Amino acid sequence: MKSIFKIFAMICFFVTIMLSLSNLDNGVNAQSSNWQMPEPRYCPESLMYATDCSAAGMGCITVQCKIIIN
Amino acid sequence: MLIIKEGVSDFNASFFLWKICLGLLMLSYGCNSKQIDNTAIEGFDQKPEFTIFVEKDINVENLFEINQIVPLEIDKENFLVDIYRLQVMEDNFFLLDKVFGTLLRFSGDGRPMVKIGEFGSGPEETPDIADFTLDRKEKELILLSIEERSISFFDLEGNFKRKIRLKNQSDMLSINQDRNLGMSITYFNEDFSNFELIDNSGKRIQTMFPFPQGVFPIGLKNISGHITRSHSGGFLYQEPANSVIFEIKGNEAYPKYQFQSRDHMWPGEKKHQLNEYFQEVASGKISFPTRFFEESEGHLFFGWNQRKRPSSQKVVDYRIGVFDKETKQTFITKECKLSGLMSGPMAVEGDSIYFIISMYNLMELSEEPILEKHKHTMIQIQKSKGDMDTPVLVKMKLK
Repeated sequence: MKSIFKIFAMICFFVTIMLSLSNLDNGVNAQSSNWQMPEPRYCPESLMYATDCSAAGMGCITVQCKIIIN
Repeated sequence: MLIIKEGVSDFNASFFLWKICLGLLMLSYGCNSKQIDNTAIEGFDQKPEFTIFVEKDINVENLFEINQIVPLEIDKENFLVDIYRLQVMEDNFFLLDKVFGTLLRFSGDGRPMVKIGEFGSGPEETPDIADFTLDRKEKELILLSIEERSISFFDLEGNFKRKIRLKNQSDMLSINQDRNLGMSITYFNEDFSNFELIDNSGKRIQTMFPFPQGVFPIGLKNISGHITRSHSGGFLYQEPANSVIFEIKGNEAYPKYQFQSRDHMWPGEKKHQLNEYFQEVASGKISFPTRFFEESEGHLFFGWNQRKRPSSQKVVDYRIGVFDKETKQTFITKECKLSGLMSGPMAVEGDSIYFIISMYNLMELSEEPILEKHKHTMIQIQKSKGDMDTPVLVKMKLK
């Protein structure tokens, strides 16, 4: 009975640690990465909207693909 | 007697039930009133000060008159292609192309005065210029770097003064009369807010305009969402995908302008569904205020995108709108080439409004009635300036 309780306590401890680490990881990502979002713009020659990466040669004057820096 | 007893017992039972109902009602009222209080703190439960109902359209030449056309001289080493922000101060023009990281100051007759900011990662350099604002009191230019998360201060001659680091990635900037800085912050921030207010030393005052944690991040800054100064010295701020412009005075925000139309518009309660909003915009299904607006003492000037007509191929139909704060009347320009080309940034100084158009596009419009008086000037400009890509500043007044 005592050993079952010990195993249960250990499982609880590990689950708590795992959950804490996964939350911490998300927080660090959101905080430290220079994330860049897709930024659609209207391209007059193609008469449509396109995101910066897909808009090359579609009538947008200056188009640069966004680079995600980790 | 028995009948009376039964009556009393019925009365007690029903009284007890009433008490429960009353209790539940009070509990529910308590919960609701708490919700309302929360909203009241954020200041979003107030009715907007002005409702801008976009309906009447008139010819551009009946709404504006062009007072001045100023071609801007660009050096070969500088590029001004896609103007992101335009500001006017004391007959000087400040233009930013954030793609090339070019911020230039021009004199009133279009001569380049100075280039502000050096590219790089040194202490006095900046890796990009995402936006800028003008401190009119201190005569300072304030540059925002999204990559470095910094704000750099320069004098009007382009001399570096100081730099402060930011906690969050910011993409738009403005300054209020207390010299506090208001910034639109991107969706990658742990405060889960769209707006951050800091003092001039970089110390945070507060964040505003919260968004839910699960929001799909998409940068709409080419389409919707803007920050600028209000005429009374505060900020005017529009969240992306929202048809309401808020004024932020001191530490408080209140809804100042709400756009309405007979056409389908994106509902306010869905303002955080950015991807869905963009899908509607990209298919031309909705009318919406564009990302540019500026306020003068008596008017709000704004960009407007009319929803796609079934017969049209284009999903955009840019117009320029004017709302008169005194008469509460709103006019937008009728569909025309000129208003389509005035879709970029605008600046307001006194009762004048400024736009940027490329020389090439302006020459194409030389037969338009609004340019009738300026034909001679345009011929002179064309003769003296070889480069047709030169940006031209157009100064207009309301008729």
